[in-house]
Amino acid sequence: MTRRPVLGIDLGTTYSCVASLDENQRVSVLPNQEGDLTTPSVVFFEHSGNVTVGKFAKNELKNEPGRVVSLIKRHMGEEGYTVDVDDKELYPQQVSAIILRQVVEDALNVLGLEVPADGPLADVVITVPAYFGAAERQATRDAGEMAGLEVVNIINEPTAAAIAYGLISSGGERAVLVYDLGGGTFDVTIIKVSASEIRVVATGGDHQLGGADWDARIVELVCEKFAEQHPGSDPRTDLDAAGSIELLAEEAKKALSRRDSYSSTVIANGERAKIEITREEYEEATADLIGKTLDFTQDVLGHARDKGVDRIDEFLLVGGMSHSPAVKKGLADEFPDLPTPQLADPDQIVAKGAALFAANSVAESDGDTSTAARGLPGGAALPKIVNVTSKGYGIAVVRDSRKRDDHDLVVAWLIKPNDEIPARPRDTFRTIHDQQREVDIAVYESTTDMLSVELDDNLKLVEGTLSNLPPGPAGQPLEVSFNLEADGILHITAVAGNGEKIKLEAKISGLVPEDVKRAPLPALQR
Amino acid sequence: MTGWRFDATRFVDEVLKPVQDGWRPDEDLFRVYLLPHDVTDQNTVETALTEVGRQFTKQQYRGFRRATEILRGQHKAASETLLDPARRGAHRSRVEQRQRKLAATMRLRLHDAPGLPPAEVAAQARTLKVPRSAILAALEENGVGERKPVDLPRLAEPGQWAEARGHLVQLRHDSLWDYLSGLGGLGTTERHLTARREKLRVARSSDSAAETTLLRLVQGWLERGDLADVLRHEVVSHLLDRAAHGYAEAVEAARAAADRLRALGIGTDPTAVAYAVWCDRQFTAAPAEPSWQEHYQQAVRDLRLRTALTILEQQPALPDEWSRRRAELEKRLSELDAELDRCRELERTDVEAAVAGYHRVREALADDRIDTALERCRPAAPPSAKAVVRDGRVVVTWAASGATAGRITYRVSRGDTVLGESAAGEVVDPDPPSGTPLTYAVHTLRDGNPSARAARTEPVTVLGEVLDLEVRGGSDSVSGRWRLPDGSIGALVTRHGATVRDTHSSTFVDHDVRPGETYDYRVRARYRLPDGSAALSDGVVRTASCQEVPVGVTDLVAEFDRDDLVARWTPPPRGDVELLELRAGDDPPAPEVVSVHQARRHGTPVQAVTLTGRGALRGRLSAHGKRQTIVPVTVLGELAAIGTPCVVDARQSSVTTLRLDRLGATVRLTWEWPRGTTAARVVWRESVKPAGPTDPQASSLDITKVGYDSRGVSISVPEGDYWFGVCTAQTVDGALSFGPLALRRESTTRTVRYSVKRAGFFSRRWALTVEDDEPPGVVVVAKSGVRPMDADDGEVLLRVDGGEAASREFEVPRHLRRPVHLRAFSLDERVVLVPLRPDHQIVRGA
Repeated sequence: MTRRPVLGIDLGTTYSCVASLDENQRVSVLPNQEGDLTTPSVVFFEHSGNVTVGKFAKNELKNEPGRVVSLIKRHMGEEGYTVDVDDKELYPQQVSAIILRQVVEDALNVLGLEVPADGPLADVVITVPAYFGAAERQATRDAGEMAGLEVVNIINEPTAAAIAYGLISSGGERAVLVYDLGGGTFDVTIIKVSASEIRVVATGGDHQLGGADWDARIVELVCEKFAEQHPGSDPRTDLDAAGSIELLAEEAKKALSRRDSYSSTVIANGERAKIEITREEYEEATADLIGKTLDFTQDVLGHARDKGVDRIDEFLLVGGMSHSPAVKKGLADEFPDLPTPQLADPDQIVAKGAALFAANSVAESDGDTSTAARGLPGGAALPKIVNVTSKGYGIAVVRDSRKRDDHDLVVAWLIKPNDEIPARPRDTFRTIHDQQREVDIAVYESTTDMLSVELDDNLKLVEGTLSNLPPGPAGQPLEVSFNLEADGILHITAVAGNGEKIKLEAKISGLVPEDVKRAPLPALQR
Repeated sequence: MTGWRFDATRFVDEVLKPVQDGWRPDEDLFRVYLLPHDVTDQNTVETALTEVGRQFTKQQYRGFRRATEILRGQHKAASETLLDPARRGAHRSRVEQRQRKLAATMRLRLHDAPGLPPAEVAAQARTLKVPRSAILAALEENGVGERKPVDLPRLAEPGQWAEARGHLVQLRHDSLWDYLSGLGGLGTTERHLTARREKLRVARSSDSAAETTLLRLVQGWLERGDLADVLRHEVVSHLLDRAAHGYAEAVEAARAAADRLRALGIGTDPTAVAYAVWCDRQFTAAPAEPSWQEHYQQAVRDLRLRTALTILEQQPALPDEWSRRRAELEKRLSELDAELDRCRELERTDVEAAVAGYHRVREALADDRIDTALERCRPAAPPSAKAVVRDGRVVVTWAASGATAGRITYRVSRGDTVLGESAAGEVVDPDPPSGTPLTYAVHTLRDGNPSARAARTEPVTVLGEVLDLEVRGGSDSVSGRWRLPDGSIGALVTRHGATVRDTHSSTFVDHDVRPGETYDYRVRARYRLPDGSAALSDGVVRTASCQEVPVGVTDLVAEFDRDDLVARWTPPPRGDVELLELRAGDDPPAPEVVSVHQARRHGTPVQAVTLTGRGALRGRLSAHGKRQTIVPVTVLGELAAIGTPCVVDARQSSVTTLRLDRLGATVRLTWEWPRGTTAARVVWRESVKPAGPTDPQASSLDITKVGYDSRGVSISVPEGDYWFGVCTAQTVDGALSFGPLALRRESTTRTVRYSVKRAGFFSRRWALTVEDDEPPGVVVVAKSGVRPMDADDGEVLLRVDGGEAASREFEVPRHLRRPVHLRAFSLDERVVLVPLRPDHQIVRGA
């Protein structure tokens, strides 16, 4: 019986990529049905109900932009978010599932395999930004399952990049800085890599910052120049032209990384304008975006230093935006002491690392100890992967224990960003009133990797009330323990002095309803 | 059912675009959700919230992504405000307050004018970040509205207009219209001018000179048919000047010039004209079309000189200065065209010079012809190129092309694969395919435009080495494995030049090895070249040793010597033998070859107390008084052979220093007990050695150590020949077991008396006297301080053989510390010498 194919998938915000190991145990990227090595993460919903994914879907931006969905990864795991197409609400998981299904079917085609009538199409490892929390990871896993895939694992993109660069097979332990500026998300992670372990030391980033934001700045430049020629006219108000402008912006961005200027014609609102953008204008308009990435990088280097990592041995640039000369220059100017960045296959390296990881995981679970199955140089096994959390977790407590004001609450953090997971801290808190018989346990998650004690700056995950506390004066102890596992789900237990206990589980936001999860995907148009 | 409907255009113009441009949507939620301010119907509000909320995720608004994200983020809070009547009312109050403020702002802007032009309404909306509808509402609040001004003629200032104005002032006319009304007015003709000129001839004054000049100017306008336009320009300029002081001034001026305006066809309604000029003067809205001058300037800046010339040529009444510019431009273009033609000619004979010429012209003129020409003028290919294989990579070098103009670089490709572009003369192909001839092409690029042909290298073939080669030594062989590079058909393995027979495509095994020897192996990849011949790579060399297998010890013998364990064995041919004390409770390991680490886990090494040789060890065990197993382990490299273990029990060692002393009718036995032993058995038998501790023919006595220590052991036996044996006794598993039997013989046939005394008074010599007819051989022994126990226990002072004189003299040496005890022993073991006076046998003095 032929084994199910084993694939690594980089499900990117703007482009997706699939890789696998060939019969010689070499990792290679599988082209799609158009022969391209990356597939735009864009879905076009046809009037007939069918869907098209990739380049041709993107082209439809010129004709029917209202039926084209892109950048959906930015909303994965977002509570209550759906896109509206044809008055139908679609969850981000559904759109991602369609993309996954298409790229996997294309991969099977290249491998000469039939799409099975039932059962999973393939065993896959899908990558996510290191900054993704539990909700986003679960949403990605759900999308894979909805696409008919057996999701072996969800791994971090910088970890996949480190595996693909072969860092684990050479030299002793080293600290690696991975700067991943993709189409929709920015991740900067410092990992310690050795033959036995890949350990995330610190991570940061913004999963609302990526190449799409550079495109948006070009769109604004285009609109400004259009208005110079046609005062008071904004081409964006012509909804039919919006898609073309978006495509033009992406084309301009790519061209301006190689050329000094780019020109094109924009037609909107019945008016026409010839637009020329110089590289200088483009870099000036996007300088603050690059600045943001440098700030995050600075923060992560600081967190790493706090954990004893003072030196970076390798510097990897990942993601399509890493091609940009302005990004490279910005990094070189801001961090002259960092090693020369390695930039090889930034668009494909994550998928390749995922494929290596997938092959190794499947070989282990199949009990296949042959080194050939493992795919890594020298036949080595994959090292253990140790992650950190990108968010902090804590509970609400009174700000001033002397004043005992129930309404003036702040967050007491038990788990901080960049703490290793699994994390199982515990702490003792105390009641604030005499004869207090119950206490509210409200659990919060930080929204960034910079902690604020103010409740409003953070996200309430779950709350519950522990009742039947033992009678007594204020100051009765209450032990609160947190358990944050690798899956990102937080379990909370609070125990009073008399043994009364409450257990809470932080719900994962943005889950897709079961009936939606089970519903078949629309037919893929070929 | 509500009357509310979603208006997509309003949503884009009044909500999305302003929010995208920075407007705060929470300033006016009615506007965001397209609701009137005074809405009270809850259904209407809910419908609007739902429908507008749906729009935030619709893809057609992708151009306003930032706005939709902001609106989505505040939708929940907005819903709460609008659905709660009290909060909605409070919000409404704030919105209306802002509206009143806007109306006041508009009032200031209006300056009592009857409205604002559409462009200004749009400009105010942009500036104040409110929708157009809000501006219109604010205007309405002021009793006015949006009003499009009538078109005014936009005429360029006539040539020499300033001069004309000067003359009119001198002649005290308010305007040219005023002056001409004294001639023919709007219908002034040549005849009027001629007649007037005639009249002026009669007087020569400054006024007449001025008027003459004026008449000449008017004539010029008349001849060109421009007079009406000049008059229009005059009246509009006048109104514009007055409008600078306000709308009211503009109205007054327009009313005063009503007849003029009508006659000139500008407008029949003076207030409309006044409004138009007021708008024109008041608002800084950009003109609908840039003037031709701006077009011209832009074209010149862009080097589009032909376009610039066209613009000038299109202008009807080009002032002189501009005419001059036109002429200069024509000349310049002509020169540039001539240069282009020259470059075109040069293309046939000197392409580089032609390109240089085109580049020069391009610095002054933007022309598609130049771009086309440059495309045509491809650079020359490099004259030659060379490829060399180096360490599995191919280094491509080439001679520089003759091309000089423009930015010259080179592109190197292998088939369809572009390896790189470089301005230097070398490119490296880092990962070329192996086993197949490769040809490289080098194109010259001039500003990215490639040469028509390429310099090609001679074919080279990379013979890549095998990958991930590992060679390791086993116990009886050396084996290796690797991965074949692409293109390779197999491998050849040699050892010191000789081929290893058992070789496959990715493995080999060499059994022809001797343990402990080291060998070098070279593994070369095999290739089949297109011409059918075979080729081999240079090879990768690895060294490996054959691991010899150690041999276990099978004849270990160990016994106790007091506290020391003495072990002996036959040394194996190679390796070192370690003795391990087996851990208590463990079964002895089976004899086998294992790793050293595994072997040593069976026990703790026996500590040597002295230097030991091969095959022997004297050491101490960790504990005494119990049964222990000693395991021999032969260590050789990484392997260890476990030998046959040996069981020792200190308690079952042999007793040592067994002595027999006959004292008359008894024989006293003394010996050293092995450590931990608590019981012993004494056996004795006449004339014959006891067969063992349980010899039924022997007499036996069991004694404990306690008994031995307190009473000693003395056995009564008559004189004669007896064998005595002593062994340790131990109860093991309920049965009595014995150690080795130490034997001594005690034979006595007779007793002979002797005496030792001074040979005389004050004599230093002593005399031995043996009272026997046939005296045995005797030795006299001296010992300081204590009585000698046997013939060896002291210094021999006298030796007398058997049968010699029964009395002999001897001296006691001075070096012996006094008192010295003397004793005689028989050299015949069957004879016991008994002293007559033991007390006389102590030497105290000299």
